Amino acid sequence: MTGADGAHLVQLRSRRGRSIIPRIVDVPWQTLVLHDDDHVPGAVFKLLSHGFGGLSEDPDMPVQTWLVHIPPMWFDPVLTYHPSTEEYFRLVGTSPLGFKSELGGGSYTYRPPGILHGSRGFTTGFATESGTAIYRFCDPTVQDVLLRYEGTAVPQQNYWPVTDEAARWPIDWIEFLDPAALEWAPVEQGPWRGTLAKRLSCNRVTGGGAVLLRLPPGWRGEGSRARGTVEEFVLEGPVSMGCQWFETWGYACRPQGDPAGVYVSPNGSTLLCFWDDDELAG
Amino acid sequence: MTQRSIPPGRRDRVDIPRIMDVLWAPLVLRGSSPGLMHKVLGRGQGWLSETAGLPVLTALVSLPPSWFDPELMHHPCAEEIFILSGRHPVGLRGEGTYTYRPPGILHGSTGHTTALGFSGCVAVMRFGDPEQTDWVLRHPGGGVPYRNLEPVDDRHDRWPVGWVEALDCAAAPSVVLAGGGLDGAACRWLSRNRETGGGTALLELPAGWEGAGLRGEGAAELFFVQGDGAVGSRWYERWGYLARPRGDGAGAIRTPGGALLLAFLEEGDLA
Repeated sequence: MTGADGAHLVQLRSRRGRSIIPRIVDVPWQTLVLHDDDHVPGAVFKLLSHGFGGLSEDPDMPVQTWLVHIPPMWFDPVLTYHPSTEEYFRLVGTSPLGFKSELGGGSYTYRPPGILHGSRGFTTGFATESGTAIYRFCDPTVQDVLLRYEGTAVPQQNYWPVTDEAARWPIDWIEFLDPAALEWAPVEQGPWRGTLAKRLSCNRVTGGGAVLLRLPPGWRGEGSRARGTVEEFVLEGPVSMGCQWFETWGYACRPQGDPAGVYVSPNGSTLLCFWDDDELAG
Repeated sequence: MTQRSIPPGRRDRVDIPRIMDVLWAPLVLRGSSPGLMHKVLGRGQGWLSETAGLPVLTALVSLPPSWFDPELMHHPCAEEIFILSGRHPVGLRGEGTYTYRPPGILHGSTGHTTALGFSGCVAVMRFGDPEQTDWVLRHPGGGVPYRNLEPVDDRHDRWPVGWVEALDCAAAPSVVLAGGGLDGAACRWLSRNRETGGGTALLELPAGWEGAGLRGEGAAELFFVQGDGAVGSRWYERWGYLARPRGDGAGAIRTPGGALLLAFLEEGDLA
């Protein structure tokens, strides 16, 4: 499959271990240390899962999913880009990750590798609210993740690609998406039949991507078949996945071929799903 | 001079015109849950304690969502909390809520459910310096009921500052100061030291206000909750902070656009 300019699209495949976190409070916060972050300390995170690939061309690149919390006024005054995709869904607050966004909790970002970005100065950084997000990124403990562009081939500007990866990426670059602007679409077939879905991003090669799923009260079904790696975060719960109760902000990562088996939502619930493949398909 | 319950404290002179210039750093509470970050505003000794030399800290503290300590704790000196944004895990108190808790009061998050409802907060806090004191103390049980907001000793009874567990600052009475270096400012006392006349106050300075400022009778700390302005020769932005030792009045204050100041005063500078 080719992109808009005829370039072959990157194949994104991930390998992750099983991670089952029914209660988020059972996972301790840790200080997030980024190499070369002398001027941007302050974030803390809870490690939800880790593995390889799925966020870069390199299928062996170590990757992680976090719950990350950014304090007010956090910003990096130097433009940066990353060797992997960064993907985040804001849960609370208007300014996670240094950006004063008009979009608060519930907004979504998918940024392919190689895009210059950063806070644009003190005024932008002075947000008095904290922010908390689900964040998918490469593992900062094993590689340099804050890359600085020293060249002159492209302008030193926010949102300027310094590599050609975005053009070959199978998932569109989404800088800010307000899911409230999307309609809930009924899922009429497949293992999630009877639920409502919003696709936040879509992998044109595999049909995977980020999906919001609303399970109506009393819903019971097979759910994700784990055609590929699935990550499912409970935005509103509780919900039973594989006979385990997950509270609000509970999380499960299941590798390919290891489905939960059955999902039950007695009171209604909303899931944020990151799927390698199209788990809505029949 | 009458013996005071809290001996005179000491505060280092500090000027933080731009809070952005102070980096966030982990706040490690030995024996408690990880995840807190802080910006150190000021350091000193005493003022919150019967022990004159006890190291104390004023800091901007960030608590992430779902942070909680599952076990009740108490502290060796008083602690003060003013919430700037978000909600605090103990009792889910919101922006503009103030706490002054004397030493020896058991408190803590009341459980998992409460922690999940907590979306994180940022607060100005004054407390014992956790790097230099055993700040988190546990009660071994016995003697007093083991429950939230239960004193483990009688210090709160003889403490010169009343115990304020959760004050909605907007609801505190406001008086316009007449005379002195803050003439014309609207003052809301949040807590008061009966022996010194000092305490913690919110000072609302209207746009265009100018005055001689604090007299420097005791140590003082000022934090710009909203707005900005000049104190002495420096310009302080929102969330800017200054601390002055006894005898150092900081200088005149002027605020063209108006400001809301949180003032920690050891003595009765506003009288």
